[in-house]
Amino acid sequence: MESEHKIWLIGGSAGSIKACISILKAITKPMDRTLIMILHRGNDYKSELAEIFSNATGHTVMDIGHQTKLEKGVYIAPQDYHLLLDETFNTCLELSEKVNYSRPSIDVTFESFSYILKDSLNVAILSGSNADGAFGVSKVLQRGGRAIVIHPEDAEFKTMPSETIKQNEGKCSVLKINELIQCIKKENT
Amino acid sequence: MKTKIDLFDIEMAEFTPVIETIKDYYGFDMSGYGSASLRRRFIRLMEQFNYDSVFELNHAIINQEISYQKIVNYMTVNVTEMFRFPPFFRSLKDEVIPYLKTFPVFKIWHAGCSTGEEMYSLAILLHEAGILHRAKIYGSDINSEVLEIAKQGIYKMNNLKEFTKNYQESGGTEPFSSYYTANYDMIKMDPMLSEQMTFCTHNLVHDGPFNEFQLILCRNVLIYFDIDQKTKIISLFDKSLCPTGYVGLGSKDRMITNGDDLEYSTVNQLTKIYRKETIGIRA
Repeated sequence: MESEHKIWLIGGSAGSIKACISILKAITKPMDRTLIMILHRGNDYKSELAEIFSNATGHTVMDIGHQTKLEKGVYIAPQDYHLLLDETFNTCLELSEKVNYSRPSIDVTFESFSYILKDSLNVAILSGSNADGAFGVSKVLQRGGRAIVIHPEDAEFKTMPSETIKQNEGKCSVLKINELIQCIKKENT
Repeated sequence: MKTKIDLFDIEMAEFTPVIETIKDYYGFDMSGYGSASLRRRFIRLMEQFNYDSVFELNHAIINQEISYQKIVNYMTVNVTEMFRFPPFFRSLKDEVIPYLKTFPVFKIWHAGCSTGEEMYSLAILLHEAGILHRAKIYGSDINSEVLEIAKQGIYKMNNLKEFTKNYQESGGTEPFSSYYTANYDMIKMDPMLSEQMTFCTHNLVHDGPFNEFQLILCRNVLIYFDIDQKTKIISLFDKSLCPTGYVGLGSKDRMITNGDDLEYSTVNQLTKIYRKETIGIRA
């Protein structure tokens, strides 16, 4: 990718909001790379997650739109759409069937971004109670990207990290949440 | 699930001959579709029919082993729901329906209506405003199979709770249950709602305007097209809209009015409702 800055995708479901807040709090503002959170959330209410993150962390967190160029900053995948990346490095929202009972699906976003960004993509899996993300991580790794999974002991809900580790045995880094923060920080200097 | 060759490893460019074949055989032109989404659709089509290579897929289409209908089913997105994004319908109720009321007869085009849930949603709002009998509502989609479902107005019951909640949040005034009868895990919408509806297949890429409307709805459709195609579709809507008419898009769609004499004012930024302003009569 021509872009000089790194892209981080952070995927999670149940129990991930707290972890995302600690990550964002630890990162110096302004963010000098693109960080996008792909979090499962219900669609039967209007989500205020972007505001919640902004208020809690001091970063300006925005719902990512359709056909948005990846700029430096902190974003969140919007509620009830799949998030993809096209060949011009613009985001692309899709309202198709849920995948793993989820929309946005972490698998879908990780796969689509890694198809375009190859080895300049970094992803992390936090906490959750289904296996969405495991397949996505396998594609990221296969295409030379880097994948970090939170140690299940450190995750509020273990299924998502455990399944991801199981399906990508020995290929992804398993880190404590603090180590993940250090990892993102180190690159954010 | 993950056996044989990995369909996700196919490069987008490899699908170009298939796009050509489908265009040559059926006139269904997907070259203006957004590539990221199109790639997912092709992978899904191949998964469904168990094809291992793009060559096989292309061969099957050439030899008509997959029907046109199946191609359309898998290559287009047909996900929709009743009163999807309630603020939109509330906005229609508060900001557009008073305008429609001023016409003795008015026409609405729902472009890309899919299985019709949103058409019934709109019909309910018109009914509650007492003007449904004055409406002519045209529902169009590229996919004739989804239009059959729309015509029948029979839907699965499992989303009923969400539909009811959406209806209430949209400002509905009746019990939602007064609009359907339930049986065998399905609901059938009150036929009174569809009396004013007409359905037709229409391809936004190459079919032209077919009437003049006071309101055009096209929700979560434009996101699948690239910018050039999107601009063409907006211009098609412009040609189909009466002066001072309204357009309602999906919450992630955006109105593009560069060039030409397209002049639109934003009625509601959140719900993506726009109004055509003819130059000369603008305030």
